[in-house]
Amino acid sequence: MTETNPAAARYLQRLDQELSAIPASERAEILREIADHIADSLAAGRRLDEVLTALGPADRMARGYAVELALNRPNTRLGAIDKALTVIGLVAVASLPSFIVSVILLSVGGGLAAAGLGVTGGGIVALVRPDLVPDLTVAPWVCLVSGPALVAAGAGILYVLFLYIRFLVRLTQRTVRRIGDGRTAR
Amino acid sequence: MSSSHASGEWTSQLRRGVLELCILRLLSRGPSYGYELVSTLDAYPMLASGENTVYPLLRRLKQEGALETFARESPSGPVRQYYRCTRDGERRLKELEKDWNAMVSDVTSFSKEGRR
Repeated sequence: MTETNPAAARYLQRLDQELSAIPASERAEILREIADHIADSLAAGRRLDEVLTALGPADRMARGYAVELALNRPNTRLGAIDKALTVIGLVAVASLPSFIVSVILLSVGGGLAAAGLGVTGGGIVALVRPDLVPDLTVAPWVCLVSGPALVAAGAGILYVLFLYIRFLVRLTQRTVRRIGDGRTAR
Repeated sequence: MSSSHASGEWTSQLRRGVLELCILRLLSRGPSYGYELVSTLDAYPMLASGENTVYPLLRRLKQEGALETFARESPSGPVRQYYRCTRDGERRLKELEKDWNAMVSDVTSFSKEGRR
């Protein structure tokens, strides 16, 4: 009965197009429900134009579904291959600058820490066996103070590197999870 | 419409929130189908929400498992898709009613205190 009415059929066809983001089986149920609604309204003695006006424009109806079903949408999840490609892409884009930053932090931090150890060691040797380092131009206590300070600075930089890597790992985990939920898609 | 734009917006948001409670309440009394639900709600001016709110909400409640559908002949003859409340839906209804009653009683006593 509804199907034979061109205005009703047009409305349903437009709704079908507007709902294209919803999977076919769900969409078919929705369309049948709205078709039933039109048929029931007509059977109750209402005029078709009145019924269609009450339903509102097809795109507004479709937006209603989009809003409600967005909270609970298994269909827009990415496929496994898409997910893997997205993760590889993200890692590739993020890894070069991260690699450079990590290498700089590692070499500066490591260098400072090693130099600090050397200076401290030199200071100790100068105190215990001054004859081994006859050409030391500064007092041993300068080495004993500046050495540990250098070690501390190096350790600080290495700690920053640790924080940075931890941040990257967490960011990656969160991104992967979000991709899994399909929320970053479209 | 006599209400201003701002209060109209407020009313429609309020209605949208309460609608879930009303639909679960209606269906906990017995199965029903779309047209019947819309018509029942239409009899209450504050609840009359329009088809493009009610039907999408029904789908969501079904997806969330609060409602389920089954085919049955309607009084007007043809087979209709009927909705009924699931056990999850009944539980949800109880929670929503508890919240609603607490909200009404809080707002009521709050307003009374203000008058003193």
